[in-house]
Amino acid sequence: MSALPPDIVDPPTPEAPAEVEDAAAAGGAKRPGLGVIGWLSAAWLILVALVAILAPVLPVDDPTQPVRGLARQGLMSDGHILGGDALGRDVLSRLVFGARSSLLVGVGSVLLGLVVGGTLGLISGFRRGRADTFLSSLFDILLAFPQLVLALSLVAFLRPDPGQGSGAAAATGGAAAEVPKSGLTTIQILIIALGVVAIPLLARITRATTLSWAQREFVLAARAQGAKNARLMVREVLPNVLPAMFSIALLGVGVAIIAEGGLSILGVGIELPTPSWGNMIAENRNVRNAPTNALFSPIVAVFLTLMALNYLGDAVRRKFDVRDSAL
Amino acid sequence: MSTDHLLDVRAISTTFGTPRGPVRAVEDVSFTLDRGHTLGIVGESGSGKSVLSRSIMGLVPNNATVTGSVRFDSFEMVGASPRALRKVWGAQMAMVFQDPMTALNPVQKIGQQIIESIREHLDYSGVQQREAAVALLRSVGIPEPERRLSQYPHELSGGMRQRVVIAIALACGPALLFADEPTTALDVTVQAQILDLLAAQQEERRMGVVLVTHDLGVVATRADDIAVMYGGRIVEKAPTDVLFREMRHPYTEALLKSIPRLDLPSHTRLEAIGGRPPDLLHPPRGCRFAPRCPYARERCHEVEPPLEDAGDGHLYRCWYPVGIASEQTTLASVVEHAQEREPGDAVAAEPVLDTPADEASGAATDPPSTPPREVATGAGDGTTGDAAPARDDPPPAPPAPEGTR
Amino acid sequence: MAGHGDAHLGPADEALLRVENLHVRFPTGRGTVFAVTDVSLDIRRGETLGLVGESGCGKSTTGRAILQLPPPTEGKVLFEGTDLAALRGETLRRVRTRLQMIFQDPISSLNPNRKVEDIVAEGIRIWDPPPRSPITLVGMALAAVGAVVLLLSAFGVLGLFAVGVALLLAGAAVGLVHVVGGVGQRMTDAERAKVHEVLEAVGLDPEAAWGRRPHQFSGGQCQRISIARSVVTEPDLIICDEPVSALDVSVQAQILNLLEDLKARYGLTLVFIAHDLAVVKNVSDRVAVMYLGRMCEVGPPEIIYSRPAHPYTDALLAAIPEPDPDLRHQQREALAGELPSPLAPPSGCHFRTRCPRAQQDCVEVVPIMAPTGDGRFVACHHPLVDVQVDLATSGRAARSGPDQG
Repeated sequence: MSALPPDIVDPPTPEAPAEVEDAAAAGGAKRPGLGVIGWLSAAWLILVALVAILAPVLPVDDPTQPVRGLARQGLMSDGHILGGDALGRDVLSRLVFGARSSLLVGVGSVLLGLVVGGTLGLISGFRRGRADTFLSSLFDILLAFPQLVLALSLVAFLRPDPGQGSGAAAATGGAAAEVPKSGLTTIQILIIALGVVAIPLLARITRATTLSWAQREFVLAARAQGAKNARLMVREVLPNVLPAMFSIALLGVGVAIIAEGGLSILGVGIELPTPSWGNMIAENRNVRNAPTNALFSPIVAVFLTLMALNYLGDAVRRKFDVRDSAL
Repeated sequence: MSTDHLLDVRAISTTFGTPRGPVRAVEDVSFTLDRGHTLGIVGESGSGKSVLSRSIMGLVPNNATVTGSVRFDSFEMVGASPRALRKVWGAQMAMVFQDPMTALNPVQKIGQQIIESIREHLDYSGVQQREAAVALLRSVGIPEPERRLSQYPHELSGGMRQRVVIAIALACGPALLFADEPTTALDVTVQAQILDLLAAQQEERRMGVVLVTHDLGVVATRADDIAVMYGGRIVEKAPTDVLFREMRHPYTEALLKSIPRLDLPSHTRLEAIGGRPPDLLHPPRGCRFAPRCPYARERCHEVEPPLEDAGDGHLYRCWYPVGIASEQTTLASVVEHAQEREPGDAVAAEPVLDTPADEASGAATDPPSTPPREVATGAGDGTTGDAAPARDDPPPAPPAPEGTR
Repeated sequence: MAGHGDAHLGPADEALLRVENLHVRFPTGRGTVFAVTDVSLDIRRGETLGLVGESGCGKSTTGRAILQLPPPTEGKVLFEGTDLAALRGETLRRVRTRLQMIFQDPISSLNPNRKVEDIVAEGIRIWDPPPRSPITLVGMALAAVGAVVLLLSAFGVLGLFAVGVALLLAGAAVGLVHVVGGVGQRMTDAERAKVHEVLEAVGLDPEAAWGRRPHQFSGGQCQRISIARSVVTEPDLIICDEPVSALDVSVQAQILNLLEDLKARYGLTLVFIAHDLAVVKNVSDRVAVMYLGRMCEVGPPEIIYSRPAHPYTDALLAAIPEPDPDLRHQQREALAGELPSPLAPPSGCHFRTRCPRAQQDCVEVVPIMAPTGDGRFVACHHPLVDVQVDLATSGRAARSGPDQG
C-alpha cells in the first residue's frame, strides 16, 4: 500500500463535465448519436453493400441478357419491378450488378488513396524537413493536373489495346478471359486511376491534420519516454488523425462513383454490357429516347448512396469532434 | 453623499438553458458602485464572475436569461432593447477583456479599431477622429502613437496590445469600466504597468471600475471593496481592509490560506481546499460551499444561509462564520485561530464528512486538527464522503471542472 | 544580465545534473532567436531548483534543452556525468526514462483518444512491450491473406478480386483498430499493478479512473494523470514546466502539495519552472532568475526574495501584488520599458535597457556570476548587494556582442 494516503481521491465523472463559465457553449455539447437520418444512411449503405456482394446469388436475371418482350416496358411489368431498358434487359438486375462495379471502383480507389496518400501525408506532416518538402512538391505536382485529365491519361496508359476486346469476357467473370495488354481488368484500371487522383488530395488533408496533432504536448511527452518516431506516429498521432480521414474518405467514395460515371460518358469507364451505375446513366443520357425507368433508377440509386455517404461522413466527424471540443 | 449610485445591481440572476437542464451561473447578486471607486470581484472558474460582468452589461448569449435589476445612472439595463443598449455600450459602459490576443481583430489596423468606437458614438470629423486616437494611445503609454495607428495587432507585444484594448474601451470616455481579468495573460511586470495605467485613468476620468480577477493580490492593492464569489453567489463582500482583517466566510479564509505567499518559508505545506467547485446544473441544497467547508455542520447542508450584515458595509453568507469571536484576526494569526478552534468536534458529531483517516494527509507543518483536510469525493459530484451518507444528495451529476481559467 | 560564468556551480561529482554553457538558438525567417544564452546550472540529487522569469526569458526552452527536446545548439548537459548532448539513438532513448517532464496545459498534454491506463502505462510499454492479443494477430493475418489474394487476382478474375479486397479490408480494419487503438494489448499484471500504484499515488481512484479518457476529467485531475505518467518509469529528475499555471488557485495548492509528497516518496529531483515567484519559492530549495535568455541570480529563496541583488529580481518582486492591503502604500513604480526582442538582444548585459542602475560598462561587458557571500550568486556589474570579489573564481570577461559567451 502507499506510504502516504492520497491527498484527494477524486474519481472522474461518468459524463463529460461541462465548462461552467462557458455554460452557454455547453448548450450544444450533448452526446451526439448518429441520429435518425444517420441510422437510415447506415442502413442504406449496408443494404447496398450486401446487394453488391451477394449479387451473383440473388434471384435476379442476367443483367446482360435481354428478356424477350421487356424492351422499354415500364415499372412493374410482368414481374420485373423496375421494368426493362431500351435493349430489354432487366433494370433491377442491372442495378444490382451495377452496384457491384460502382462500389468496387468507389471503395477501391478511395482505399488506395487512403492507404498510400494517408501514409505519405502522415510521414510528411510528422517528419517535416526534407521529407515534407519533397512529398509536398510531389502532391502539388499531381494536384496541378486537372483530375479528369489525369484519370484519363492513367486509364489510357494502363488500358488494353482496343480490339483485344476484354470487355465481354470480363463481364461474366469467366476464367478464360483474354488477359489484356497490361494484365489488368477494367475495374482494376479504374481503381488505380481514380486512386492515384485521390492520393494527393488525401495526402494533403492527412498532412494538415497531422501537423496540428504532432505539435501537441502529449507527443512530446511520449518522445520524452523514449518512443521512436514510428511508434509516435502510429500510436499517438494516427488515432487522432483517423477520424478526420475516415469522414473525408466516406465522402470520397461518393465522388469516385460519380467520377466513374463521368469516365463512362467519355467511353473509358466500365465497358458495356457490364453494368455500373455510372455507365447506366451514361448509356441512357439521351433523355429523349431513353426509357425513363432505365435512366432514373441509377440516378436515384446514386443520389441516395451519395446522400447517405455524406451524412454519415458528417456524423462521424461530429462524433469525434465533440470529444475534442470538450478539451 | 448622494443616494444615486453610478451602478445599482439588485438581485441579478443569470441562467443558461442547456440541453441538460438550466445552469444557474449567477444567483441573486447585488451591489452598488460609485464614481471613482473600484469594486473587485474575486472567484475561481465556475464562480460566475465573468458571467456576472457580462450579464450586467447585457452581453449574454441567446440561451441566457437574466433577471433582476441593473440601474446604470438611472437607466435600467435588464430588458432594455438592443438599440438602447448599444447606445450605452462603449459610450457609457465599456469592458476590457482578458486576452489581448483575441480581443483585437487580427486583420484590422489598430487605428481602425480605435476609431470604430469613436465614430459610433461621437460626432467627430475624420481628422478629429484620428487626433483623438493618437491622443488615446499616448494616454495609455504607447510610444510613437502615430506610427502605431497603422500597425496590426501582431506587431505589438502582449502588454502593448492590452494597452490598445484599454484605449479602445476608454475611447468615448465611459463612466463605468469592467475589467475582466485584464492582466491574467500578462507577465507580472507588465501587469503592474497595466494596473497602474487603469488606476491613473480611473482617477483622471472619475470612472467606476469593476475589477474581476482570481488574484487576491491584485484586488488587495487596487480595489476599494471586494466581493468574493463562489458557485454563482456572493459569499462575502466588504471594504478591502475589512475583508482581509476580519474575514468571515470560510471560503475566503481557505482561499487565502491556499495560496503560496512570499513571506512564508520554502516548503510550507499549503492548505488546499479539498473537492471541486459545485455543479451548477444541480447545485447543492444548502450552502454551496458546504461540501468543501471544513466547518460545515448539518444546517449548512440543508439550508442556504442568507446574506448577513456585519455592519461597516461587510456582508457575508454563512451560518457559522469564522472570526465571529470578534477578535481582530490578522493574516498571520489566521492559522493560529484555526488551531484554537475545534471544528473537529462539531464535525465528528455529524456523519457528514465521514472520510476515513486520510485527513492526516501528511501535513507535517500543521497540526492534524487543522480543518481543511482533503476530502474524498466518492460520488464526484461535490458531495463528500466515500460512503455517501444516507441522505438525499443530488444525483451524481458531472461537476464543473476545477480547471483551467 | 546575465550572465555567464560558472562560479555558482558546485563540484561536478556532487551534481545529479550539470548544465554548462547552454545555448539555444532558433533560426527563423526574420533572423536568429537567441532563446537561451550561456546558461549554466547544477542540481544535486533530491533538490528542487526553481527556474523563474517572465515570458521570453528562456526558462521553458532551457527545460526542454536539458531533455534534448530538441537538443541545444551548444553546451553540455551532464546527467550523472554523461553528456546527454553527445548521446544518440537508442542510448539517448534509454536514458530518457530517467528524465521526465510535466507540462503546463493539463489537457493538451494527454492524448484525447487513449484511455488513462494506456497513457500512464506507455512509459513502461515502450521498453517492455506486452504480447498482442489473438484478435489482433488474426486481423493482421487476414490482411496479409487478403493482400496475397489481391495480388493473385491481378491475373485472374473479378470474383477473386472482390474477395481479396474484402479480406484486406476486414483484416486491415481489425488490425488497425487494435494496433492503433491499443485495444489489442493486454496489460500484464506487473503493468497493471504499477499503473494502479501511481494513480493512487497522485490521488486518483484507479478503479474509477480506469477505462476513461482525458476529456472526462477536470483540469486538476488531468494534471494528476500527467504526473502519474511521468513517475511511472521511476525517473531521477522531473522537469516541471509551469505545472500549475493553468489551474485554479485552490487546485494549485493540491498539486503543489502532491509534488512535494511524490518527491519524498519516489526520491525525485525537480526542476520547477514558473513565472509565479510565490509558487516557486514555496517548492524550491534554490531559485534561479532568468531574463531574456540569461541567468541573473541564483541562490536560496529566502535570501533572494528578502534581499535581491539583481535589479531585475528586485523589480520582479516589487511588481508582485501581495494579498495584503496594508502593503498598498508600498507599491513602487513599475518597471519601465518593454522586453527587447530576442532577435536582437542588447549588447553586454541584456537587462541594461530597463535597468535603473545601468552604466557604460553594462553596455560593453557581459556580467559574470559572482558570489555575494551568503550562498547566492549574481551576474551584475552594479548589484544591490555587494559581490565578494575575493571569493569569485576568475571567470572570463566577455566582450560585448549578442551571443558571446
